[in-house]
Amino acid sequence: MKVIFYILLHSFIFIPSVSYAQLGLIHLNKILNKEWYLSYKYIYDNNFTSSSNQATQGSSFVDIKNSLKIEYGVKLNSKSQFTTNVSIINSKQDQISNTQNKTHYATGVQEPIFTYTYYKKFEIKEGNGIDKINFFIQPSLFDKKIRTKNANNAVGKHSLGFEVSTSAIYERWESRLQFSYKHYFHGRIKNIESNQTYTSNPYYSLLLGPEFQYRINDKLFLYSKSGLSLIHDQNINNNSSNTSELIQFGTGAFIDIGIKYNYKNAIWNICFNRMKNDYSVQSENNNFSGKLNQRSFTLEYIRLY
Amino acid sequence: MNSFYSIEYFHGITFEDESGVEVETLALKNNFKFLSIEQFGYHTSLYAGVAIYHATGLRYQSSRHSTYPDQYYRMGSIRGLFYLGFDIKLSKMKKHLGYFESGINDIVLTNYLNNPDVINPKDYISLALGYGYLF
Repeated sequence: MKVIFYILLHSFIFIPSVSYAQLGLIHLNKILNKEWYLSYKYIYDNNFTSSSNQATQGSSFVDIKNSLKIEYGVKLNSKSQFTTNVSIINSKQDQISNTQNKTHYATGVQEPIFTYTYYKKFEIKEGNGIDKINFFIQPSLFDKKIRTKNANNAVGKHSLGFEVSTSAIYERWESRLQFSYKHYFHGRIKNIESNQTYTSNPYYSLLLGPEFQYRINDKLFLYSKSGLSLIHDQNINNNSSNTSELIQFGTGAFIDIGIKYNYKNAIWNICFNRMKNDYSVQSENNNFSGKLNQRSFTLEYIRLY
Repeated sequence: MNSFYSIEYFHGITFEDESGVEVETLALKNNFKFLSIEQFGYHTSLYAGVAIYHATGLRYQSSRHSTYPDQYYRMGSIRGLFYLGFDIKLSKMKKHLGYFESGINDIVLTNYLNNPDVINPKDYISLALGYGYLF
């Protein structure tokens, strides 16, 4: 008999109240009630990619990233705000197989993401919440290079998208439902070690899921997010050998668990994230499949001005 | 949502030790309460519902099973579980409740309609006994 461990994140039942502190950015659908803010984020990211068929000789990749992300947000008017962020990333990728092990390093700045947010509704009182829509764009400014010392952490392709979310706020509980769409344009990656260039065709990804937050007191908040991700099939073309591969990810799942501490004009945030996807690769002479496991830890400090 | 309809969200993991492969499931449980009685210090309800769920991953994508013959296992990405339920709580302690549910998966009903001589749906009825706390 199968034993299924269900994590019941939350039911729909909340206790409404007429009073709730207007804490702005502490809410799930963040509202900037000051003029601007700066956020400093340290992210430890561990990606483990494994495959287990004969063609790939049981190889796996362990990709560890240490990132510092700085975000600036400014209130444009009572219904909109603008944010931008930039990341400095140091990554180490171990390629482990039965025949050889290799390690690759890369350090560099990743292109900024620009986000415009429009708030359709925000009423922080009994049973109400915040509805908003984000439009974001991340331009590709540098060539993406992998392997050897000259590798970088550029994104390698332009992307743009939107996120719509609605939330409800009660005395202790807050809930949010989020949907986002991201479109990736043609991509280009240079493998310096093998002197080959890969290009990818456009594709998209979707994210859907609820988020919940529990107010322990006016300073401490526990939150959890979970949901479904869908990444559309990707075609990767090797320009040197004129061959192509089809990568399928299908649907995956993610879970975030975190805690926020609000003190005067600052917020501390600690978050753990887990994301998992299957993948399969089909090419003219090599088909294989495997798993992608991502775990990350985030420490964030937000200062309001 | 209201006194008749409520919704619950589940994120479940069946570990590799139990099923051979790790299975991750997201489910949305829709409850329709059709009877509520308060008697002898107890509050009881009867409800029916359907849990709509999706197991993530490539192996459950219906498009990958398109070569299967008609009326064979109808693989699908989104599935349903139909159930009847009963919950009970003390009138003085309405935050704590016990429940009992019984249900059947849609794939069993589909296969029964296609092959009624082979499949007995009673063999596939699932039962659940649990405790809930209302925040």
